[in-house]
Amino acid sequence: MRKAGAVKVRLYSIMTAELKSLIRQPFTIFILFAGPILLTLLFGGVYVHDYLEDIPVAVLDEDNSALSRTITQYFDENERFCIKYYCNSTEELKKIIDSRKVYMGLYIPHDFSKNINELKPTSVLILVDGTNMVIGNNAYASAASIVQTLAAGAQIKLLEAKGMLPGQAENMAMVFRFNDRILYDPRLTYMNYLILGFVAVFLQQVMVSSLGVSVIDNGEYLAEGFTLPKLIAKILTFALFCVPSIFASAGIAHAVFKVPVRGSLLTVMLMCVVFVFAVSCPSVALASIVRDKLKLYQLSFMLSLPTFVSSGYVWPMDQMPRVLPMVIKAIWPLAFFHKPFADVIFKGAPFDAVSKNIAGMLIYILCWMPISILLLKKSFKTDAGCRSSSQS
Amino acid sequence: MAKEFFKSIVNEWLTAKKDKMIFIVLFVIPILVNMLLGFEMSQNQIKHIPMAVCDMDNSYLSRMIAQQFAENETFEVKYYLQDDSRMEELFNRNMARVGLIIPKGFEKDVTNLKSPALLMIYDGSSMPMASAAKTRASEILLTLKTGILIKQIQARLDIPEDVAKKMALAINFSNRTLYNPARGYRNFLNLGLCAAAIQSGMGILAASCIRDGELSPKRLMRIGLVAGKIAFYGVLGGISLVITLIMQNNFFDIPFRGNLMDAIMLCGAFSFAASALGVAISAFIRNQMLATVAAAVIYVPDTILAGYTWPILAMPKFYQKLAYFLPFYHFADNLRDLMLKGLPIEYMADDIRWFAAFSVIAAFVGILGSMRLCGEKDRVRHEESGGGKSAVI
Repeated sequence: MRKAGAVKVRLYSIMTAELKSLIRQPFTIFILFAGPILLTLLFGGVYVHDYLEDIPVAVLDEDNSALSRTITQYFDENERFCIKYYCNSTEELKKIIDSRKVYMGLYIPHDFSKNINELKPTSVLILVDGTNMVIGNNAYASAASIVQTLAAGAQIKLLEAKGMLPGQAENMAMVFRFNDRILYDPRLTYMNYLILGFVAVFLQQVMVSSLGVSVIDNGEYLAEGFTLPKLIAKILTFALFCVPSIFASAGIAHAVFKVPVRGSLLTVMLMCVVFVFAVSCPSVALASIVRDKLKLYQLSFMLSLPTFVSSGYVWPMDQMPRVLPMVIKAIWPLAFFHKPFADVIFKGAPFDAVSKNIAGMLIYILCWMPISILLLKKSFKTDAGCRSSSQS
Repeated sequence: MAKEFFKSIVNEWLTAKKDKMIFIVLFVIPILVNMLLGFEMSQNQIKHIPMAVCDMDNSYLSRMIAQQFAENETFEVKYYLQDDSRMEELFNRNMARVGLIIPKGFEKDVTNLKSPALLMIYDGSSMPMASAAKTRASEILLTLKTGILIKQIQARLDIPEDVAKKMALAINFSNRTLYNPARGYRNFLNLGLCAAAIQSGMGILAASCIRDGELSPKRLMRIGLVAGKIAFYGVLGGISLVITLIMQNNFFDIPFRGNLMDAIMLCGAFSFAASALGVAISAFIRNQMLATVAAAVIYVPDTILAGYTWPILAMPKFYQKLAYFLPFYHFADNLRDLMLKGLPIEYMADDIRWFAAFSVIAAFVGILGSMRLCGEKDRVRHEESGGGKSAVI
């Protein structure tokens, strides 16, 4: 009983000391607290126009009939497109797409209108530059929608010409309709898709770099004994600054960039705290291996991209080769946190939908924390030992 | 000056050999990123999206529609529901990403020309899946719709099938997606992400490369030092970039339709510009940690800020102007053009000129920055001449 009380007092004094030490480091506090907020504002600004408008288009109208001009007009009047060039040949059309002056070409062949009236086969060709998929997919989807409208109109006219009543012809042309309902984000915006994912990565980055540097600074003190409680105190002290910053960043995403917040903030808090401990494991391990603050910074920044793209946020985990997600999760904990964090906030996913991921992080901590502490002791204890022996 | 230039390169090489960090950052991590992305996206397209079907009609037509989805490799129909009450729960728990609801009396309404509607539901929180599912579902449903329309026209107007077909396809549109016909994510993302990793490495390393001990007391000599650093990181970064392109092409089937010499020129010009900016940061921000953070803020988010994924034309004006000053903005689309379109370097002439101008300006800034520095040798001389007396006392 007395022993437990002593441990509590010791833990409290370690925490207080850590907090006092951190308060004397304004640069670290700035990174931990202001870093995620400023980066959220910077990145959020990129996606503030969440709808892709005025995609430049080139037209080659060899028919030059009333119908072909109507088709061109449909594209020009659609907010998604902006007709920038009228070409005179297919070569010119291709060249203008190649040179990235336009991302889509519309080709209407000779006698297009005449062939339709005579029920002869003819078609309008839409050429989409697929090198940037965001532009390509948006252009394709909007073009397909315009095409359907035009095609339905033409079908109705042809059916009426064959003696059908207007209402009947319309219903036949629209033999059935399919309505789309996109849950959570009806406009499928990049802002909603990405910004919370970025916020999660900011938490990782500030923890890995700041905690790692602190471990290098206090390596000998941590290694000389009572390592786990000291480390827990350090991680909790850092979490005191970076977790509120993550909440502030999510708040900015909600208030400034209109990202919906649907889920339980308590679940988000729990996930953040568990993740902070999980990501501290590789941070301590890396710090113990490199033992150089500059190198640790360099490594931690270099790891941001590979960890981001392998966490299942950009490319879903279930689309990867079967073994890869297991390897990724065994090495780095972001995959347990990244998408689930966004799902809870944005989709309102319930606790039990993410409980497996929280359990995954806890298992990760149980496996990696001892390894990290072992590396830390191995790396810094020699220095501590040398110093004490030289002092004696 | 030439001596200083080569000395600077040799010094950097010896540092690289000694602590290996330069090789790890410029070669090991990019190669790992290459392999990671290559394996991760080996499927290239989104497939087997978990789907829930709620067929309340249970007719021949509704079963045919469900069957079309079940047979398409983009979808994997995992749930057949009696009613739509469980649909939302499946989406909330990520168990289904696409849903199809066919209402009661659907087939009868089609036959009676009542134009019924079926409902497609997509999980908008996962954009790659929602986009892929929406595109494929539209294709499937449009094909079915046209088939049914042809039959209806044929039956109601009593005309031959080919005439009915021509009426149904009155305005026929065909589309071609150029350079990435399968709309594969690998072609779209991998090149730029790998290049961004290398650029970040160059920038982060170069940002802390000017060390006090290397600064010559003769300030003009520092031109050689700065030029040597830029050349060192520029050449290594360029080599790493070319290795990346070759790896992506050979191991992960990214098309390499352009000329290798053009690729080397483009990568070289870009990496010199990125390296020059990093060295300029190093000359002005003497706290290495702070310089590394500054370089990371400039280089790491470039795939986003330079419009590699979300296009520049959709960004606010401030970001459009900012992007113009980022080397990656002048590189990424050209890299795609070279690899996927096979365009020659002539198409990129403006950007190559931009790289040259940017490198010269950044080098000049770096030289200016280095000239105002007080090196270790300066300090020693200063102290020897008595300037350090007060400090000693």
